[in-house]
Amino acid sequence: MAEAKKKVLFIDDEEAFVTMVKMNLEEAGGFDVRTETRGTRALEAIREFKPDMIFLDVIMPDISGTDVFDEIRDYVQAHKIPVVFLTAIVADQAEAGQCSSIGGREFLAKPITTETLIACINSHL
Amino acid sequence: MIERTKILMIEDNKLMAKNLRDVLETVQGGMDIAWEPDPAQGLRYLAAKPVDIVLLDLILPDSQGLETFTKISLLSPSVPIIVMTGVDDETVAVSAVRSGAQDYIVKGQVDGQVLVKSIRYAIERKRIEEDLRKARSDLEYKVQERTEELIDINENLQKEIDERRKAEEALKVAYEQLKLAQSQLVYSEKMETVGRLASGVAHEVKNPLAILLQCVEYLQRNLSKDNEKITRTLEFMSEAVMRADSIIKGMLDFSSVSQMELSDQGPVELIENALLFIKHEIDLHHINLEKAYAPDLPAIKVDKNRIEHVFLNILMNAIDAMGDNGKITIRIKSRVLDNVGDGAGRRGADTFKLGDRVVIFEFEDNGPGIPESILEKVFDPFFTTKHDKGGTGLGLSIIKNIMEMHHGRITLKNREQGGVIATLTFRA
Repeated sequence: MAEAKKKVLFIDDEEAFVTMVKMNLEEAGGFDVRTETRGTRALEAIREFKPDMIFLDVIMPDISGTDVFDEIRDYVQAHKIPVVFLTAIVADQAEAGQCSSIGGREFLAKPITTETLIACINSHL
Repeated sequence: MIERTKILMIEDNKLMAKNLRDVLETVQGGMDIAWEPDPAQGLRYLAAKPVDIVLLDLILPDSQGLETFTKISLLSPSVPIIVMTGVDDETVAVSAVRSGAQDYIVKGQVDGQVLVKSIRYAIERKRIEEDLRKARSDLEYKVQERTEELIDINENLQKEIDERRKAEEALKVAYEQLKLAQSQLVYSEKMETVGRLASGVAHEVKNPLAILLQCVEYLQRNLSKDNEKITRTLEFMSEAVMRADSIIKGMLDFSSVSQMELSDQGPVELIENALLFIKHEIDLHHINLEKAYAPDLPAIKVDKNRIEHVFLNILMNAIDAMGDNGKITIRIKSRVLDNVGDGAGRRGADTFKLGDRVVIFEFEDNGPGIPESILEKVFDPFFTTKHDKGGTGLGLSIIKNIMEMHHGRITLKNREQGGVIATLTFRA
């Protein structure tokens, strides 16, 4: 039996970005990707989808990624779901296969290649 | 009561003296007439007692008459003298008058009334003369006093001028310092603006770039891989995205999110490490590399990666400027800053203090140098002469920023023989 697909949730207001990431990851194989463009609906989406891993944009128009994290913190910690922040305002590009860390929080800097995303997911799951 | 007039008569001829006394007493009472027969006694009398007037015989036996006259004038300058002379000696009398005698009378022709009048006038004239003299000397004193006051005032003025000049010089220095501080302020303001701008721009530009990159990847996987034109087109797109991203990254270096990681580093190791990175470029362009490292250099506390970045940027600028077959000289030395001309100062705001030990890196090239007109602008964010080669104008401003984060200093100067010398100074 084929290995179960890794369920990854992207919370990011850039619809085009998350749509393309979903297409690229799913085509690469082994990933079931759900996207949510409203940070305020993050917890709902997590409860519904039960992801194995979450990517969370730091800057969104309706709510900041860190506020979203505060909301979902209890749930993701209880279920040991890794959360990686996506940010467009950090210079350091994570090296392929590694997520960088600021203040104990992992992040990936945009723009980002599918290869890097997959390496990051595989390092956690 | 009217004061009696005191007269001293110096006359060797007793008879003559008696005659005169008679004449005077007949005409006018109220006169005390003392008689001395010779000049020496007359002078003694004068020294002892005040008199109002002296009647002096000019033809005294043991004295040249004028000589006696002079002695009396010296002894009692304020006492009027009337000289008496014989008929034959009027010329002597006239010269006595010229020397200050009030009047002269010719013996044997004396009229009592005339003599008394002469005495009165003589006393009166002398008094006026004395008043005049006193007034003049008062005046002189006042003039002198005033002159001294003026000299004092003048000296004070001069002092004030000196102080003002000193104050002006101090002001000038302060002004220069202010100007410097202001230009530094303008610079750091600019840097801050760039930093702020950078994070705003980064968010607005990096998100679209992220979308583009994902799109390109999708197309790369799904469009015909056999079509070379499509493959190349997508490669160009991917490279363009990455180039745009690296420019944004350069801007973000200003906001310096990440912390400095300081550690003790050997100056030579730092340079040699940086040189490893560009060995390829140096070989490719046949650069003649000369090194002059002083022995026993002290370690410097730096963020290794950032300082290597600085070295690389300066070396790459030099290679870019020279093209092939250029020559780069790298010198490292250490010394103690011992004069203000070194750019060291005593104020808190000075980068270096007198007495600081510093390590100095010099990078010398023999390229065309930097035009003087832009030498001041090369550290300005977004200033570049390499727009056509994709320069962002951020390289040197980032370097300056890094040097300031290390409390160090970078200067660029044109060499007289051509080329540029970049000097980096770190506190040891």
